[in-house]
Amino acid sequence: MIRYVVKRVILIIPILLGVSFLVFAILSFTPGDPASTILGNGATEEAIKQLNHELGYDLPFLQRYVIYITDIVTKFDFGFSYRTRLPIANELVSRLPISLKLASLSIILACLIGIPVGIMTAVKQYTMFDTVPTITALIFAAFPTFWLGMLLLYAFSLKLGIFPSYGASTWVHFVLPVIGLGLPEAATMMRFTRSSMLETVRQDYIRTARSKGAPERSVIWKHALKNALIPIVTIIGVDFAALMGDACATEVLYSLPGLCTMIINGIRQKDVPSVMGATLLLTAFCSLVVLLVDIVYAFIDPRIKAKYSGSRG
Amino acid sequence: MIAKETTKEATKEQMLEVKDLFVEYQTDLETIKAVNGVSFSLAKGETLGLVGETGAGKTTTALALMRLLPERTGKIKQGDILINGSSVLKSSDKELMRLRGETIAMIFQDPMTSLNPVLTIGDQISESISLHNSQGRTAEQIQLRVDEVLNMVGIPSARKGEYPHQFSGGMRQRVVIAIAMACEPDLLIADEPTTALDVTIQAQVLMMIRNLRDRLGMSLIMITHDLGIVAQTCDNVAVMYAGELVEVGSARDIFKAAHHHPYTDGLFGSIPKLRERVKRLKPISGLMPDPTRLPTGCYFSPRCPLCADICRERKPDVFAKDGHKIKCHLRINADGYIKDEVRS
Amino acid sequence: MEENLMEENLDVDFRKQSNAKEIWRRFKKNRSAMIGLVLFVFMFAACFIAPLFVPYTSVTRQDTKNKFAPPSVAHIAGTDNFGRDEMARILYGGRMTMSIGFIAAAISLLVGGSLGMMASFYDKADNLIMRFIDILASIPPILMALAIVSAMGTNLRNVVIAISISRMPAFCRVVRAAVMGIVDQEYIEAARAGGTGDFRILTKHVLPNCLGTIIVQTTMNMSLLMLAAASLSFIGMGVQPPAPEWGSMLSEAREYMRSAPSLMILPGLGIVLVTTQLNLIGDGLRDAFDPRLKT
Repeated sequence: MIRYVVKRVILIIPILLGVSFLVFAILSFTPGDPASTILGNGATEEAIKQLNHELGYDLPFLQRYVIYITDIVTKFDFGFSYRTRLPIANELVSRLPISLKLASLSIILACLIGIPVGIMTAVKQYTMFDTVPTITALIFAAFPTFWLGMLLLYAFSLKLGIFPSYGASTWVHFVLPVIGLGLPEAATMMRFTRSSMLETVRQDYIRTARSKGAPERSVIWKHALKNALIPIVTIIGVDFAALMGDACATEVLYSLPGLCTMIINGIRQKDVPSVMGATLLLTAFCSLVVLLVDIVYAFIDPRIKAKYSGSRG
Repeated sequence: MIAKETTKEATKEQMLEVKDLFVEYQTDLETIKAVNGVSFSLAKGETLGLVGETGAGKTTTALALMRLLPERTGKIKQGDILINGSSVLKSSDKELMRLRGETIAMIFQDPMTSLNPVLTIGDQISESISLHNSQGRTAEQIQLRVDEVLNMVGIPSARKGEYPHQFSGGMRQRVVIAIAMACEPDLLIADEPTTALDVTIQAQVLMMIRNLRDRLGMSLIMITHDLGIVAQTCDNVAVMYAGELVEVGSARDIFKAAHHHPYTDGLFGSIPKLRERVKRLKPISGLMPDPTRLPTGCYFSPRCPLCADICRERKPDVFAKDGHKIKCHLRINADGYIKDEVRS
Repeated sequence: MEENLMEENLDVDFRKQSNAKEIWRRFKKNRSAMIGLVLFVFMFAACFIAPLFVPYTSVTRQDTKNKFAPPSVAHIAGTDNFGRDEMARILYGGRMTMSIGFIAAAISLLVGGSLGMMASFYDKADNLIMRFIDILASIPPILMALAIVSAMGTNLRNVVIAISISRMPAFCRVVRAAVMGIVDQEYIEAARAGGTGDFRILTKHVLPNCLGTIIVQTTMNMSLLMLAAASLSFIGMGVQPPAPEWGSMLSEAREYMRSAPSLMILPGLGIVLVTTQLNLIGDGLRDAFDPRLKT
């Protein structure tokens, strides 16, 4: 098992390097140079050239990339902002918890609603307990998170005044964003759980279980559920990563000072280091979440577990 | 529509009676007539071979016996199934659960998909035992029984903590057999138990099923398309075609009698024989009829080499001689075969 | 359908699978898919035929005296914060959102699909392409799109390119898996052994057989692409005002949530409806192409 974990952890390194290189390459196409951005319109050509040199901007592309990555890995140094002149790393550290909180609370909400309801709809297929949630989920899965967020904001913040409309200082501030981001995800999760469950119930081994005389609840809870949950776990990882990105619109809507708003502000102000740092950190976290889920997956699926546990088979 | 002559005395020892069974699969798009009026019976300790091509309705018949047809699509339209004299179709869910595993057990065709991949084989066997725990075994005794069953099918009991994917196909089929045998059922249905296995393993598995049957005195329904297996294993044989039994008789009748259903002849014609010089094998031409659009008259008529006009127009009656029954127009009063009046 | 039923009718199903008429017959029997299709055709027609009757100027013409007007004969859905006709903006906005979705899906399919096909066909390319796709896929789509828009600037063309690239990994993987499933079949080996060239195998055997998967995936991804376009516009990194687009209209409506909450209803509803319809159609197509998967 440890072999598997180590193997997976090592495998993530080239992915992270590839991702950072890709993001670095794309963002290096940004028109303009750092010095002109920093110094503004009034600066002389000399001063711009001088500053670009100090920033290492006149070095070849590959060399700049290597320096950038080495600084991050060895000193956790993401450079400094063109606008505020402050280290990016500090801002990242203060914003990361907000992004993580939003995404993880949303995925937890989505799982708590989506998985049980999905199981129920599959078990009660062709009854009202299937059709009503399925239709509801179909519509909710199509909701743009920002529109649902706006409706919630209007109803619970502007009209009823129950929840604050912006900011992230207390837990209460997260209620609306998490519902707005989590409900459409819950709908997706429900649809996936339902089809995974229905697919599992069709398998031969379920018939074997029935042929033994197993009662229906044991067929569902003992034989079907564990098999159906295996693909669901993968989806949780993938969707959590996607949620970190989808949170952009939610962060903007509720003015949450997370990493997404940092990226958007960075783009508006042509502050490339901000955009780069926040994108890399978010992406790195997504990769880590996927990795974590893969490891969990190995623990619940005996087929992978046995392959690496060193025993036979 | 072929039924063994059932007198009152005979009924008592019959452990299984299937009377005029019709099964359909209904989907939104079509209705598949899988079983069309099948009747047969099976005495205690007896072995019946159910023979026919893929798609003849053999598996469907077997699943119907255990009421394991797919809940929404599979429908028993007509007929009755009696096990030890009581109707399976009228049983409550509770009775059904006792019936499954305890009275009837089934060995499924494909050992690769019939075992739950996330449960250890020990768990899968012990589940059977604890579900039908009339002797009141303790957890330890159940585990002892698991070891016993595993030894019975030739798997070291030390491997009971392993998962299905850690076993080869032949070994998995042994596990499937172990699950079926765990509660020593009165009737075992083996649905092509060797089709998915290598030839060398096939013989072992078959031998094991036969030995277990003899030791436990079970009744056995052997579903197969392999006439060799029938010859080795079965007392009686029922030949199935397009959801009907076209010929029923003792193994001797099927292999040695002078008269057969043309389909049975066709089945034998498509197997090479060692001791005879045959220039060419004679396969049955054509395909099984589409079960959504069965032909009128005899279902075999489109492929039958002896097909006459009457075959296309009218459903054939059953003709019988000493318990050997053939459902074919061309056997009318031939050689002592008389119309079988007993119809259910 | 159930396992045993499946096996017993394998040849029947196989024959039916490749028949376009049969697929349409099955699709027609699927009530929810048909509802989705009919509604989608209606909305599509409204958004794409409207320009023939409503001039573009009514989308941008401002009428400051007539701001936030309630629905009337002149303005069926009222007017917005600049006194522009809301209905005209919804129709033109829908055309924009849907067009971006369609074009981006086409680009994504073409590029991602070709990569996937190449990967599945040539073992040497497989590793290279798939590792690249792995990297691309580990960046959340929206962040990828943002990075591209950030480097290239926010205009319509760049938005389309950005979201196309962000969805490429999905198309690449699906097409690769679909083609791999077919390339491994024995009849392809037989064709190869018979000296049939790669291109001919591809067009004659592979493409027709994975067409179903590709069509279903494209439909499903189209709704995701439209959502992505609307999201980008909502956060101000997509289609720029005054051009109408459902996402950017919602972004504007957000500013006036207090005074004119009704402005946020139609654009949001538009997105939800079109996305639902595409999902229904996609589900229906999937069941129609592969009835064995139907539950």
